[in-house]
Amino acid sequence: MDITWATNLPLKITVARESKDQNQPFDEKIFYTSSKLLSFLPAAVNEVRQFFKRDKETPVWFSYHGSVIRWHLPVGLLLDLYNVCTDVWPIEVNFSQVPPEIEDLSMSLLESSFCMSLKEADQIRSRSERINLFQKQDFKRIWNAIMNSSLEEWRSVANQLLQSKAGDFKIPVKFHYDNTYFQNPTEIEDTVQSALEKALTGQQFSPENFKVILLGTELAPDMCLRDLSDFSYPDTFLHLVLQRA
Amino acid sequence: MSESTQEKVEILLRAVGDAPVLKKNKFKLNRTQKIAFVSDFLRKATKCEDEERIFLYIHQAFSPTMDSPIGTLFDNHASDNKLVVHYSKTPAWG
Repeated sequence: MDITWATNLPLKITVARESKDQNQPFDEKIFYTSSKLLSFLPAAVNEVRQFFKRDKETPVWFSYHGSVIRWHLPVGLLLDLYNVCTDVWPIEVNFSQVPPEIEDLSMSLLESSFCMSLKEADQIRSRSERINLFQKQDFKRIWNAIMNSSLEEWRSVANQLLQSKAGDFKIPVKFHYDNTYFQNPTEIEDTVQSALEKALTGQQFSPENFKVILLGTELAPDMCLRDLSDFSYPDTFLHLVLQRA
Repeated sequence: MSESTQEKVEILLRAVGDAPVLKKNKFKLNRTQKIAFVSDFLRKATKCEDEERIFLYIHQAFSPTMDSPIGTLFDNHASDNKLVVHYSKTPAWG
């Protein structure tokens, strides 16, 4: 857990062909930066605009091998989703209208999207009983903890949500695949396999066709979800990725 | 438990605050459709200006991400076989 919070992912950012402007000599250059695994790509927008000499009104979005990057998801999750195996993630920046499949996320919208995810997780965990006790400053502290990569600070706030109580205690889990995700209520005794079966009920996919990935590691099907809850993302969801087996 | 992906599910739209109330507020939608579809529909139905936003809430507690499939939200959050979605033109629950 501590390692995940500290891990920096180097990013190599080039301008997408469609967005290149002949009058912008910097458009042929490469911008190197980095992101924490548990942070989000919209946090890089300002420095990217600055490097490629675009004003602050210019829309920005990122793509990888031509696919729109779903940037409301944490970077570590994106690496699993797009099966990135390189040490440096080469992505393209686009300076055109943000495509309809993603939201145009300013930093304040990103923050509110994160807080909503935290609330969604707690609705599943405690029917919002615990998050309802959160004050405005608790949300602010937990967000700042991510921006400052402070696991200690995150823990001091998030523990109010995560302390298990007797009675029903559900683990918020999403299985991400391609441009969507699967989810169905899980119980505390569920394994990776049984949770996946529940999530894929009624879908056209069969659990046997997938391996389940968390931060680059394939999970054993009989692992108990409860044992994985330490590996939840900062929004307290256990975000797992399905890759074709 | 979810039905087949072809099935439709019922969604009930409820206005919050001064958001306009719709004449028809119950719909059957495809499970695979994303909640962004409902957001776009509401923007048109409530005559949102370009700079205005529409906020959707589930359980009067959280806003779903726009990539959420309606069937998945239904499986996790429906009650009485209906997914109730509150909508507002200003932030209502945080």
